[in-house]
Amino acid sequence: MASIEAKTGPMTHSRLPQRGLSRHARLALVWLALAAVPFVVPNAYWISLANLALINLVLIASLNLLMGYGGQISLAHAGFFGLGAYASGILNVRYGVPPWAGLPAAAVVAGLGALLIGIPALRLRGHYLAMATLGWNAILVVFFTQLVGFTGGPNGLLGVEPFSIFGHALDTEAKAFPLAWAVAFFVMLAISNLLASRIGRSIRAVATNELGAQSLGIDSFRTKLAVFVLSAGMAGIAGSLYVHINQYASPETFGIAPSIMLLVMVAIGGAGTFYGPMLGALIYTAVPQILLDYEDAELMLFGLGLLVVLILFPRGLAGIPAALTGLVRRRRA
Amino acid sequence: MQFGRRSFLKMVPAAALTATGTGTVAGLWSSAARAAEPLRVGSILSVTGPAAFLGEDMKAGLELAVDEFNAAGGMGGRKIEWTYYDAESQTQKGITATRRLISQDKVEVILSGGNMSGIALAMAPITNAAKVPFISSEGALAIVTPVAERQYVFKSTVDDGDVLERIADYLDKKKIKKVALIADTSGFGQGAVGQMKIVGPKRGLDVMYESFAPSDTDMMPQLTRIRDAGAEAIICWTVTPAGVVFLKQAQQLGLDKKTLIHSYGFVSADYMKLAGDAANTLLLASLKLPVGDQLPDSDPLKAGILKLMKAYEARFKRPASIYAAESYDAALLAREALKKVGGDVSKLTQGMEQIKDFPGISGVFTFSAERHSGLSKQDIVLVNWRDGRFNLADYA
Repeated sequence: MASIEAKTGPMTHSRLPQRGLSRHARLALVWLALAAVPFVVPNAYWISLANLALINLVLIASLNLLMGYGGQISLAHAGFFGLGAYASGILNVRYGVPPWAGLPAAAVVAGLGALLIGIPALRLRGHYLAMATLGWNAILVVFFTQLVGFTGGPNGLLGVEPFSIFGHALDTEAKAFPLAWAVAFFVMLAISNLLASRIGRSIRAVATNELGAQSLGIDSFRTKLAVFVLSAGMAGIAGSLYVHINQYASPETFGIAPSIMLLVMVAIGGAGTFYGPMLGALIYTAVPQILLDYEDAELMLFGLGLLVVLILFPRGLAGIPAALTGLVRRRRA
Repeated sequence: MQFGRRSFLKMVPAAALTATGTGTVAGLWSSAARAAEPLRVGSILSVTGPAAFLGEDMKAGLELAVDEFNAAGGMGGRKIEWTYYDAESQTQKGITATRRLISQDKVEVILSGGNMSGIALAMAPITNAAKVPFISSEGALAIVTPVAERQYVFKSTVDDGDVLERIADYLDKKKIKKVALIADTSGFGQGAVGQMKIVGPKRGLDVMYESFAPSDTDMMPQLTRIRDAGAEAIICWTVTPAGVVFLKQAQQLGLDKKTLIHSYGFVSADYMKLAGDAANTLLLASLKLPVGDQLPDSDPLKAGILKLMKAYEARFKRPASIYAAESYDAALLAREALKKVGGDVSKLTQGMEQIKDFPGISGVFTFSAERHSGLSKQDIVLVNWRDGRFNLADYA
């Protein structure tokens, strides 16, 4: 079982960028560059894709925190995403709570959802943990589908309001972009700061060698639980963004299949790398759009692409430069 | 990009013609160019995923409509250029593809919304905000209500409330008061439960409710409760194979001696064959399409149905389903609406609201500024399954 955790957390490659610019300056530069997106893309459809990519980034980066750095597997991430979306959406539709209050509420509800399952499930490891979280996701979908009075059931939650600033609704793609951009920035900043902190070091220590970490006085169970809850809370934030930007949510968006895809995207981007999730989010958002033109072959091409990347570059796309330099070095030797 | 090149090529002859003509005013060039420019029509369908069995038929219905209309000069005097995207039965994919249709492909009309109510419901506010007319071939009434928030959205399908009213008419005739509604937990099933709670009390029916999951393989507990409650008629509401389980187990409990009714979602020859002799006493509340040839000649739909059946079977080598008719109707309605406003797409919604007593395939459509769902209970008939085909059992 321990071997699986070791595989999902390639710790030797999880150093934060240290040379040159500070990690904060790097992140700020990347985000300043991203701010140009709405001005360079041709139309609102592209901006909507950018918004979706930023939401996906929050999802994948938070799962990467859990998986890549924390060494835990979760197949319930889309479920926590859904908890956040429905919490924020239901508060808004049924109780008139403004989206700004729904956003933190979504994080809290998703975090509580993770706490509830985390306390029993995080005592499991590897396959068993994956199974337990998978089951939890399935249960959440049943709730989303069956609590028709709250969630709108299979037909989805209708009439969700968009975010608004001083009475001005952020109801178009271009207006919603700055919000998604800012929220994604704060999530990335939070992850970066967390990893650099004492807790971040504990998280990685537990992932690398749980017994070793315990012998150094780290409470491994509480550390795992904390990172699990934090990661779910971030997924909840993504859910709140999603429901208010789309003004709609329906159960199948939060099912097991998206949970598996998110996991794959963490691996594709490069588990345990800070900027890997950006590549994962880009691919998760863009590739299905490109493949729309290939109709029936779409799913096959997507699956084939995933296989190729995972077989050739087991450390994900972010690991390609390292893989290539390694190859060159071996040739020279 | 493909579109840009193609439409440019089509404009060349028009421009050349105008340039060689003597004394032509500049205005003619632009009007000739506009007439030559194709009408951009977009569709979202789910041809993969759980809803694929509907999506293939709906896609075929639209393909047939587009080709037929183009052969006859297009819609509103312009050839149709049709773009469709597969939503894969996923709402998020449907939403993104809708934005692509609107912003990137700049479609002027959208026909069909993912062949799932959930997708169409998510699309409706987007198309409405973009002021792109959307004629949905999906079921839920909430797609087009409240009309004030859905000015650009219409639907070509029958409302569950109307179907239940029609069933209530039949039960009246048979003097049946005590009814059970057993519906699946999907949007389709639960939508009917919601409507029955309105229709039942209004028509003086004593209704008991049971439900089952679409993947269920056993309904004995529900059916036993229904038997013990003494319901005289049992209405089942599903599009899934669980409806076959319902028929077989109802027969085992002797409930086939009561009136068993399936909804229009179950009108499928495959399901009837699976059910075998358990389908012998079954009635189905259906659109008229499957019994088109048995309709009286006075029926306004008969000619259209027979024509579609023939063209569809010739092209796709399978009989047309009611789903193919729903998407075909969406296209028919768009053409009819454009006819009413002289081909001006910007007035298409006004055109739709002027459509009165228009015979399509699924039924006779009447829209108004207050009602964006066009069919009524007159479009529903009761059919049975005998001799390997559907037969008209109760016409009106």
